[in-house]
Amino acid sequence: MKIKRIITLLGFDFYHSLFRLKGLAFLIPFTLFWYGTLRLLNQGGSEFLSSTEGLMLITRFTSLEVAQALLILHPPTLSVFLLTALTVTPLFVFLGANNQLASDAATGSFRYLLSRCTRLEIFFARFLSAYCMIAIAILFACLASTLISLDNDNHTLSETVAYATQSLFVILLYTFPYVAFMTIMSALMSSALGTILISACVYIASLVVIIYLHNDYPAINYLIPSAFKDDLIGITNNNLTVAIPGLLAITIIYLSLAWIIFRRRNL
Amino acid sequence: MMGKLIECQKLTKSFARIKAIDNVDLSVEPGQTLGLVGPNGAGKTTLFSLISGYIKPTSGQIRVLGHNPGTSLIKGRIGTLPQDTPFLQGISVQAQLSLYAKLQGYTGKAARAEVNQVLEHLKITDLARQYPETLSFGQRKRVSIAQTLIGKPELILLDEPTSGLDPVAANDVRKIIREMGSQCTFIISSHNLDEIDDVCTEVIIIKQGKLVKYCPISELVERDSSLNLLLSHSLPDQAEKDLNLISDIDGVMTDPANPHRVTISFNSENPDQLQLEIMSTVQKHNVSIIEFSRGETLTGKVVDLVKG
Repeated sequence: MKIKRIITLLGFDFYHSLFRLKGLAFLIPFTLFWYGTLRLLNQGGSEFLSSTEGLMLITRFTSLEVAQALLILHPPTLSVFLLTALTVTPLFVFLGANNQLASDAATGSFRYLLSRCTRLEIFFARFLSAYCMIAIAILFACLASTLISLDNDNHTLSETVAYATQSLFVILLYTFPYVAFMTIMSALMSSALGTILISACVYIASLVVIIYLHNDYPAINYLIPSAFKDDLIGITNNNLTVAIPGLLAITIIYLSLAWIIFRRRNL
Repeated sequence: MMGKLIECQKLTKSFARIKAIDNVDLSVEPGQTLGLVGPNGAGKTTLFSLISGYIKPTSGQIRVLGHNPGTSLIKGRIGTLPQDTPFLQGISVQAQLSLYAKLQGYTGKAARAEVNQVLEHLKITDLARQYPETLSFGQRKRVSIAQTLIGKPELILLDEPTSGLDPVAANDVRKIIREMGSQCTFIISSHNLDEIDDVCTEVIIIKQGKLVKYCPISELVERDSSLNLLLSHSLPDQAEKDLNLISDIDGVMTDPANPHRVTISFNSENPDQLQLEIMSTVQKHNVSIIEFSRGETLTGKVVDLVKG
């Protein structure tokens, strides 16, 4: 495996994804969604969230302690950004990472690459390219949230920047296993649409199984990355020491499964 | 000295219960231009895909340039023209070919220069800025051939390189293969046996996934033992009798599919003299010779081998 070839492939795929359906199918809804959400926050949303009513609203999704930490100790705009981003991550990753391998494996376009690089290089380049596109989009959304937070929230610059960095790190970490999950589906399927549909079905089926079985088999929660969501929202170092290795372990397991499928696939 | 170019040992590839390649042992030396031939479904494309690393063998071993086809060590040393494989849509020919050049170790400017040189070689520089979806089938084919030449690979695999090309373009491709044949090894899979006969020195014949024959074409086809005639009329019985009276002639065979086509086999120490005698005997019976060629044809030989 040559890193230089992975970087060349990654750069090519990333750049051209931005102008093709592959990337636009993610970037346009992502931009529209965050434009709408951040606009609401900028129009007084954060003020409302800092109030008692806002606190009550957030306690529907998390505990009072966490809600207080999110809306009073930290800048509320960034906390809402963090909560929203974690909630919509699966959806946007489904849109942004669905066509890592599927179409090109089905049409045979990989054949031109296979005489010049290995399957493993293609596999990693496509995974990283999809991840980079989503990560950069999240970075821009986070930057916009930070600017809005500086304008609206009553926190110092250093507090806001530190919390924004931490939030960004958490969201990017949470995105990793979802992109790897899409790599599995993309290695299995022959089209982008098929990958989205099967991914949604598998994800929903997993949620249903977990809901029914998690009392008897608590370990089953860790089949999907959302098991670590509470640890990430808590944002204390203690919680993160559990979440970071947990999410990385899920990512590695998902990627290994995807590689086993892709390695044997007839191209 | 370079080792074997391709080595297959008990190579088998199955799709469900069908064995597309069945227990093939093959050892190919470098420096030849090889034809890979066989009837539809013989396993040509499967063997081609195994050599290229597109698919993995079900059992047995294959080594290309001394390595497993999937290994990083041979990447960039092989150029492949897969059959009917599309390029990425919405990305210009120049951009895609430059990517391939970069993957083969060229840097930005050198990659563009290599791509331009290859496009010029194939006389398709005007296609560089176009998108693959706007090209005709023949133009896409020529771009596909261009990508195999990038970086001067040691082994070039071409699957049906001239199908869909106009005669001029097909001739250009054959010319390039002949020119480059001394610098690298070509393996050409084709149904056009005249083309294989024209540009290849060796031939691999497969049938139902099994290796039927691998040898030099000159060993397979006797050039000085027969004469092929295309006549204006069917050969009269008397003419056939007269021909059989000539001492060195072994037999006269009329093509059952086309009675105007006759093959006369002989064993003579002076084939040029005999050829004149045969032609004058035929013409004595008021039959004109429209076309003639000396020696067995690869087509006939391959048909015999795959039928038998």
